[in-house]
Amino acid sequence: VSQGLSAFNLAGPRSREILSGLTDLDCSNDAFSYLDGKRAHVAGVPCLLLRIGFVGELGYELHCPAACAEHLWDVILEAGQRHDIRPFGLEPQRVLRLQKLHILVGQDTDAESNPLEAAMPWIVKLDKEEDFIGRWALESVSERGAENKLVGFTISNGAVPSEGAAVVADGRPVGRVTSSRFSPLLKRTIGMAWVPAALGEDGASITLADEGRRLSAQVQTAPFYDPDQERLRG
Amino acid sequence: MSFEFLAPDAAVALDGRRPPLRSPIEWVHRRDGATFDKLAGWRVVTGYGDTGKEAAACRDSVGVADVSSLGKLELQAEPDVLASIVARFAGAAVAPGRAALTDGVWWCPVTAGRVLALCEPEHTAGLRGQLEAAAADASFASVHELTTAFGSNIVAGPLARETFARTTALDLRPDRFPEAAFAPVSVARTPGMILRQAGDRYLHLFGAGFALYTWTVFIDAAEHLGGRAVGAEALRASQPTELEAHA
Repeated sequence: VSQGLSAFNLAGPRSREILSGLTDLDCSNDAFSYLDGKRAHVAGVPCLLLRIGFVGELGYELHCPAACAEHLWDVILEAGQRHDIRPFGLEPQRVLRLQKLHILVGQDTDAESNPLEAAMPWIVKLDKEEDFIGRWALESVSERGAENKLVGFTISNGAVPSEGAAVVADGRPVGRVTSSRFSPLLKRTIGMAWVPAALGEDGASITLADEGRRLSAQVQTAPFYDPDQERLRG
Repeated sequence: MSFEFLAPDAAVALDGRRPPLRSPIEWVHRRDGATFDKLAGWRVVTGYGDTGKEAAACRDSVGVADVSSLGKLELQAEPDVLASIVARFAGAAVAPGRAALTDGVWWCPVTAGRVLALCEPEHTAGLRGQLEAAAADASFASVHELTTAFGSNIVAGPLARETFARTTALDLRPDRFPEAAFAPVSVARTPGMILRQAGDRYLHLFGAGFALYTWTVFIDAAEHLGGRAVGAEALRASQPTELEAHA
């Protein structure tokens, strides 16, 4: 049914106020909390609402029948005018999600990645009784320990390495950059890279080899923006 | 779990404004000077400014009309369960490759375990309710609201078959693809379905994401044959479908 549904991401600190004006749904933090899902009419349009925050701000995904999408889009923009709402595209999303170290599956991970090394150990519940696909592989990784880690990095001189640039140590490639952007908000380059576990600690220096240049970067494992999730969960 | 958010007919008025339901390529029709009428909440193209020429295209060459407002509901179940439910509604069993038209609803067999029910937009909600009730009484049966998942065009006129011949390998000659014949098939290299509704009138279903591409391909093919885009008025004037006749 993918082609039958349209989806919008209404994101930003004013998103709750805008949404509340268009629906009878109680959008307060208590009634509609982070990671919750609801079904309601928004501007008269039947919607599935998901409170998720890929871009790192308070936000809602609105999924609705595609036939109603143009109406819903127009109404949201109209209602948001006094809040200085504006459409945003893929590139801002890429920068914003990177500030939060939210991974893009398939870009920051590949078929050989696992959640324990990809900075998502919280998603794996090895202590539950039920079996699940991949359990054996994850238990093996857990027992042997991480060999590599997916981490964030920053570069202070404004250079932006190519996505795919090598992480090098002692002249040898030991990892790769998966995402990189300059953050106008943070005024520095931020990115994500796979590095050997020994280099995957806060403050560690790593060297990136990119099109004949060497770039020095510092590892950061916590999100660059709103690390305590206050904006996301507020 | 309610899947109301898949159903465009579930839209309601807010502050006196009921969300208009739009074809995935309504902006193309607006660009091309279409006029619209409302039908069960849908904005349906009535014409592009010259109903006479549009009717002539349907009569003498080929007309292509966007009928994406058609209700599209898929019933899934084990073959014997499905056959039983469809027989109850359609009054007859549908056979592979052959659709059935009963009380304004086309019952189109996609596979042994899937039947697509097509109806006029004003009947979609009612039919969905009836099918959901029937599915609830059966084991492992389900109803899927696909109205906006598929775009749909009617290709009508003596050169309709010639128009399709430029986009699909399916043999549409009357002896091979008679009235009420139905086939899931590749059209313009995208997955689609074709239903022969009447003599020179075919319904083409395709993924809504391909609506602009499909429209462009068919209008291009039709125009090379002297045809054109047509609205509901010309379509109605040229040859009422059995579906319309039953409505």
